[in-house]
Amino acid sequence: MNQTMGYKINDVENRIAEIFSEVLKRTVLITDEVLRENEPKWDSLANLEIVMHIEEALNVRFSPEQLELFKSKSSITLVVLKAHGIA
Amino acid sequence: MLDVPNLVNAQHTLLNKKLTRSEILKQKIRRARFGRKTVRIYRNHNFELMDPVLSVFGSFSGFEIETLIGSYDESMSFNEYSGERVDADVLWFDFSRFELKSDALTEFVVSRLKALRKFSNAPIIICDHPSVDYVDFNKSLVDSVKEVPDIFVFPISEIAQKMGDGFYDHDRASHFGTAFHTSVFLESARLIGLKYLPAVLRPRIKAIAIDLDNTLYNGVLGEDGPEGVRMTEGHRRLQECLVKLGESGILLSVTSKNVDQDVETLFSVRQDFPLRLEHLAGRQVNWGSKAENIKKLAEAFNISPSDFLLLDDNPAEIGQVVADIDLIDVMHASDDADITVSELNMFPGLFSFGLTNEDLKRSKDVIARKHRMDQQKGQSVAEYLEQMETSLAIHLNEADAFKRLCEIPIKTNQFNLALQRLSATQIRSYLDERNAFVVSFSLSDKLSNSGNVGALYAKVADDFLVVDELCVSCRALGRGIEDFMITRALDAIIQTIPNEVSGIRFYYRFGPRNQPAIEWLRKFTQDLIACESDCVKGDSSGLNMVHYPLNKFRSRLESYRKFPINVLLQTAL
Repeated sequence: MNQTMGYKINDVENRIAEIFSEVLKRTVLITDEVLRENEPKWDSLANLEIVMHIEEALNVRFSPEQLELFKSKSSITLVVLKAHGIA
Repeated sequence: MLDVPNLVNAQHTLLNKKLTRSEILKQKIRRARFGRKTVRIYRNHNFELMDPVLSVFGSFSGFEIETLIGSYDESMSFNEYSGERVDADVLWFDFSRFELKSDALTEFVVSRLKALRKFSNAPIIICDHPSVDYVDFNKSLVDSVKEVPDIFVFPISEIAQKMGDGFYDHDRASHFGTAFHTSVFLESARLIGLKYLPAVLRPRIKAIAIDLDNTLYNGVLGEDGPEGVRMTEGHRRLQECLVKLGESGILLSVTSKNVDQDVETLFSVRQDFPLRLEHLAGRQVNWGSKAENIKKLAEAFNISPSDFLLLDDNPAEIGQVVADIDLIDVMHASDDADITVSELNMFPGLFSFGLTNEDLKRSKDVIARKHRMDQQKGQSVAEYLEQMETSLAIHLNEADAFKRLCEIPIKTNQFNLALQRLSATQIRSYLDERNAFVVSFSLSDKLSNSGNVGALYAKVADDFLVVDELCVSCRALGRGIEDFMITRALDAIIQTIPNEVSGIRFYYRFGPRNQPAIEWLRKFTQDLIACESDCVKGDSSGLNMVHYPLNKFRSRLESYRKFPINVLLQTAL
């Protein structure tokens, strides 16, 4: 079980948007949806970078089952929010 | 213009104990002093996780690393080798995937390393086994690779030991393409990028110029006085670390804006300092520029200023030194000396895979050099050499000195004629092949035994003796005997060749630091070599060649008949 660190929804969404921007090398806003199937730069390596950055930045660890859900920014955000008990 | 604050920030981020991937990848360091290095990766699990972070660590170490990552190679077949020349091979294998016991695994891995060595000249870095159950394999691996030249073991087992159960992440192995936890990749990239690749790709740092105030101790000598400056536990550990580096052959020196007499008093009064004056090969304490001080120390040590590492707590001082000495290594000393110690242990260019007797003699040799220079004043070269009872030993094809023969072309920069940076495999071929020769020479006098100070790598081709490489350690320079040593070394080879050669050909290359070698060749051949601007480059590598007729060589040899140096020739032929 992941410990909550007092994260707020906005903190999580901001950080995930920053990580997507860094990894995909373009500006991704909180309000943007990013779908893996539509994103050429979101290949398997970028996927692993996204996982590692989020785990490090937001103190989570994704299970193999959760990793299967990495299809969109919003689905990832939901997993993280649930892990922190704020969704 | 180097961005010093950026460099200092990068140092504290990358060499720090706690690594984060995002902080590492944010670092932008542009100081590829040692140029582009191509590293071929053989692997049986994910390497791509390491690649971008290794690139950042490589940049800090002074390289622009280009990796050629092969496909997954479960059986160490190395089938993808395609003949391109690389600067290093890294074998990123998870040996826990091999279902072999220790003995069988050792036999298999060593046989594969020998196979790889047959077609690759590059230094090879291989991981050991992470598991404590394979301690015997790891020990055998270290012992076995001594049979094969230029192979170095990266002890991932030490990372595994520190991380314990956190080392493996089997649950997610299919997603990540590796059973290692992702944090293993950060630590491995740091060690490979900062310690192990620099150990094989760049010359070792030869000297450290140490600042005093708020670096070696806490406080300011001029304000606090010798009794008032504080030796914290961290500073004590830092001084002990510096002493150990000095014992490993790195020359220690002090450069400080202080009064020299005060510094002498400081070391006399503070018996609690692990670092003593006798550990220092030199010091420059004055109010002048630190760059000029380092240049004076370099001259005293007979090395280049860029062979130094400056350790200083003041980023402005660091910036001024770098502005004047472009290629120098610099490290910021933290307020917390424990941080400085842990960063010093990671600093690229300090680690060496193995030390030779010559490394360990270096400091004593430098001190002896100063005595020699004092004695040389007012004497001719011949008078001075006779007084010093100088002896030269010439060793022809001495396989026992293989390690040193491999080091010399890598470590020498100033007297390095062709800058070929011969690999261990290439040097082995000079020892093994007919009509190929390696001559090394050792010097001693009544002040010190300098050990092996130079080597010449040559072969007979088309009726000529062709010198592919000639290197002389800076420790042997300045005594006026380079010409004599090299002439006698060449003669040692010519005496063994059954058919007389018609001349000697030297390969040479113009580099940023090897003017002493070029100047020697110019005088030796009586100005036959071209100027750098006029040089017709034989190939894109920048190698040139000059021909020196045998009759001129014989005249030179004759002129040395009564030279007052005892010469001992030892040949393995």
